[in-house]
Amino acid sequence: MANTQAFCSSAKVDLMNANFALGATGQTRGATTKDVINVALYLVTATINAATTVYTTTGEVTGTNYTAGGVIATTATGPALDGTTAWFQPSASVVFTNVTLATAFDACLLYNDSHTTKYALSVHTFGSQTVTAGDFTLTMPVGDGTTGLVRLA
Amino acid sequence: MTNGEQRPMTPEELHHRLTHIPEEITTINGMTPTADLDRTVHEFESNEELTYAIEYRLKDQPESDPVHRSVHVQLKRNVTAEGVAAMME
Repeated sequence: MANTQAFCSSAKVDLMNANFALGATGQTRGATTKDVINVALYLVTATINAATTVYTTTGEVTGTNYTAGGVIATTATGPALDGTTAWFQPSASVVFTNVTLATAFDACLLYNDSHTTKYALSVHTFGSQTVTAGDFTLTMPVGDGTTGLVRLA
Repeated sequence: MTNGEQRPMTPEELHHRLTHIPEEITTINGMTPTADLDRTVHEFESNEELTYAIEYRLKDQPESDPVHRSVHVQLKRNVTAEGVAAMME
C-alpha cells in the first residue's frame, strides 16, 4: 500500500451535511436537523446564476396561488456518495398547484429556507413556460452520481 | 410556505396525468366540464428536459388563449460543482 493525496470522498457528503466549518464566518446552527430547502421560480427576464448567493424576490414569478419564496422541497433522502461523487436532490416532484403564472419563467432556485440569510444552493433552467389555472410540476432526474441534481464530483 | 405540495411523480402517475381526462378541471373561469373544452398536449424534449404542456381551450373559441395550461418538466440536467471538483481531483 502507499499513501495517496486525495480529497476524501466522504468529505463531499460531509460538506453537504455541514460537518465542516472551515471559514471565519462559520455558522452557528440552531439545530442538528436538516435544513428546509425551498424551490422558487424565476422569470425569463431575471438573472439568477452561479453568482447568485441568496434567495431574492427580484425576478421571482408572481401570480395566483404562488407565494413568494416558492414551495418546500421534500428531502426525505439526504446527500449520498456514488463512487467518488456526492449528490443530492429533492426526493419527490415539486408541484405548484393550481397556479396562474402569466409571465414567462424558465428557472428555479433551490435555497436554504431554514437560515435567515436564505443561502442559494443551485439554479436549474428549463424551457420558457407559462401556466394558466393549472399545475407546474418539476420531476427530478435519476438520483445518482451521474444525473443527480446537485453533485460534488 | 403554504402554496403547492410535494409528492412523488411515478411514471404511472405521469402517464395518467397525460392521458386521463377528468370530468372537469380548473380554468380561469373556475371549474369547467372538460366536455366544453378542446384538449391538446405539447411535448418538448432536449438533453436537459422532457416537458409536457397540457392545454384546454373553449370549444367555441379554438383560436383563443388556453383557459387551462399545466406544465410538467422532467429535469435531466445536473449541476456539478466544477470548480470544487477541479481542486479535488
